[in-house]
Amino acid sequence: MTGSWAVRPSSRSQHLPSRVGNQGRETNWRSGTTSQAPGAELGRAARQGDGWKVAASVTLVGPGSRPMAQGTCMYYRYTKDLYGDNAAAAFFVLTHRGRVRFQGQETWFCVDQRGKFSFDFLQLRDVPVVAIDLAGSVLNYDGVDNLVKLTALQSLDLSRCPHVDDWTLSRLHVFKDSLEELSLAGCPQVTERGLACLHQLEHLRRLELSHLPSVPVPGLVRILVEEMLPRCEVVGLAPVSGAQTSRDGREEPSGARRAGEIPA
Amino acid sequence: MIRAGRLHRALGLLRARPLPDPAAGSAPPSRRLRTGHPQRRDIFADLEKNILQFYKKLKEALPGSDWTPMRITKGLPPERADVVIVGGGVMGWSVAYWLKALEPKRDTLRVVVVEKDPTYSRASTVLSAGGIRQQFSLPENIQMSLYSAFFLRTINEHLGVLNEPPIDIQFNPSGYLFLASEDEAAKLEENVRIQRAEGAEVSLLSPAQLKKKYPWINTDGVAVASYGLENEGWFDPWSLLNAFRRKAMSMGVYQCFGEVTSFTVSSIEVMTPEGELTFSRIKHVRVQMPNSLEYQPVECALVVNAAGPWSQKLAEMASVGIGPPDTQEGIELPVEPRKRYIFVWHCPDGPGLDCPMLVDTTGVYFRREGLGGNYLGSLSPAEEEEPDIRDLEVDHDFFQEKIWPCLARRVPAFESLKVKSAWAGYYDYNTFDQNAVLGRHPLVENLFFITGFSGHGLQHSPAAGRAVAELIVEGKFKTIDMEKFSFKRFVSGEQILERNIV
Repeated sequence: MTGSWAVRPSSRSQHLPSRVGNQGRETNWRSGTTSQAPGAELGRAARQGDGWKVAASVTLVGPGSRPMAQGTCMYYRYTKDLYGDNAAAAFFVLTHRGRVRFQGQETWFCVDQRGKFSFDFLQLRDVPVVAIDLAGSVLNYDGVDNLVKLTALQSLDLSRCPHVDDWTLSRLHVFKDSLEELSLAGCPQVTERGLACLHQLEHLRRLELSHLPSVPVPGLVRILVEEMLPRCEVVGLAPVSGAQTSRDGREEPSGARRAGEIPA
Repeated sequence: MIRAGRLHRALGLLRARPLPDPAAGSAPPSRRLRTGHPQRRDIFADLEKNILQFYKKLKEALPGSDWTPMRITKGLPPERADVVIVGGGVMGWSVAYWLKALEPKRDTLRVVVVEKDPTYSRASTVLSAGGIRQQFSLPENIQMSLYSAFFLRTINEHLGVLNEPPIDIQFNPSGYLFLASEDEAAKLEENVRIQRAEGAEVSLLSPAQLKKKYPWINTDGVAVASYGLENEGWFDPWSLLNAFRRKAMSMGVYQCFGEVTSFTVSSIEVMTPEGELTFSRIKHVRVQMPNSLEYQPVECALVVNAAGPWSQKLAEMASVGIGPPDTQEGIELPVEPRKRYIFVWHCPDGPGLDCPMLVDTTGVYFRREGLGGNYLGSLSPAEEEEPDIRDLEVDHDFFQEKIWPCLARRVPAFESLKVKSAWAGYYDYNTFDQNAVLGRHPLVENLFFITGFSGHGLQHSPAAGRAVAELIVEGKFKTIDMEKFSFKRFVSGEQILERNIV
């Protein structure tokens, strides 16, 4: 395969620009990507703008965080040009130690213990990606650039992602025609304000919202989310007290409820 | 003993000698043997003059230093500064932050922000509803909003201070929903086209789609609606103001609470092809301390007018607008305070978590406030019904008569609601074309304006502050070209109208 040299992950990771804060290279605010070539075009179309290798990163520098290792997401435009959106998205997910599943396939593509993966997914060039598992990854606002073109995505797992915040959730509206399952369990930066913009996802059927430490009143927020998304099953956000107003009895993860017990 | 003796000699004090006894014999009176000048200077002769000379020399040795041996009143601004920013709202502090962020080396510029009200009780920033939107009709406004959204998203990178907790501006990404009737539909679609061209994510909705998405809306009279999908919503203005202030002060900006009462201006008359013009420079800014007769004339190089609704009064102190009506000196800054109300009400069955900032065809707007079924909203009064600006009293009849009927018509659940609270604030309203005034004055060479935003200042503050700071530090606009917003348009008479004013 002629293009295999271009997609080797190890060589690319050595060339990640070291970036602490905004020194040296200013993030291009129009397209949200840090570009090496000047003169980006205006508009959203500039995400495909210039430079065949652009590194998009937003580093949240706070006490105790390491800006270089965390929160750096590459936008693999070269891969996208050569293999198409789906393969580029799959490559992005695999390099971030996630899993990806294509339409019509039963098995997931994933990384092994040493972080290596095979390039068989490149053969599924025009097959849309239907499920992505990025649990625990360093996905952030700019990393979603790699996923926005997936028009047939049905399941997205973003649990335990430390950099997924309300701004990132506001970008998920692009999946409004297809997304059916979304998991945000354990994301420390997601608040009820970001959950409000999940209203755009009309086809959502299952929403996992357990262990969200930044959501202030879980019981009330759960009711509001259920009212906002009537056809969706909301899992998690159990109220602190014993009173349950759940619609179906499956969701209590720490459930000590016995079958048939009537809530107080 | 030897040291004491040397000290005495050095100070030139006479040693105690027995007085000559007139009854004793005519022994020759003992006298000092030295005939030349004393080797060490005598400080104590003419003490006061020597002290003044000493202090003068010390001051010269530390040029530009503020050190003074006399205890000064706390709170006075420094005697000289490079940039004096008049107005401590979000615009003033944004300029102060960006000046420090963009200055070529550390401590190149001494920046002083002068604010007259330490409690911010009447400041427009903190009384604002806090919305941010990209849905404007002027490309520069859209660009400013996009930049400001980027700034707010990465606020901790920009305004994070070491060892302080991270900044949380409580951003709600719920978007703005503009409704348009038949007459306005074409204008709305044209605006959306411009917004998309600039890179804003805005979607158009038909009445059927609108009803499906927001079942609580009554779509009578709505021909088309536009909804901002990303980078739109509302946030907490006080957090942003304090973030700017804290960061700017950590970078060395001086904060002073006081009122600017006058400028000392020096001017020259120049004969130009257009006639005789008076060019002037502000030399001193006289800052009066609050509740006191004390004042400090601050010698400065540049003055930034970030006084918001009171910008015109400040500009008049520099003789902007004082002059014969048909000359350039006579053109005043067309920014005046306009009172706007905000009402907070509670409705138990109102729109839920999905409620955006909805702007109705009539101009009434409202948004969700918190999770308890509270909403806040208002309406900008028509030109003829502008309320009195002398105080910030709220007219509750305005809500009953003008706002509530429109609300009830658009959202049937709002037929039963209870007003919980209300407040009023000022817009720095640009009577010429309701758009910002940014940049230098053509005649007063060191006066910069950053005012006139007419209700959308808060959402443009990071971008506008950066633009003025770039103009000061680099001499031209680098990030967004704001040449259109300069004062010269009042001279030439060209209006740059913004059609989407809420």
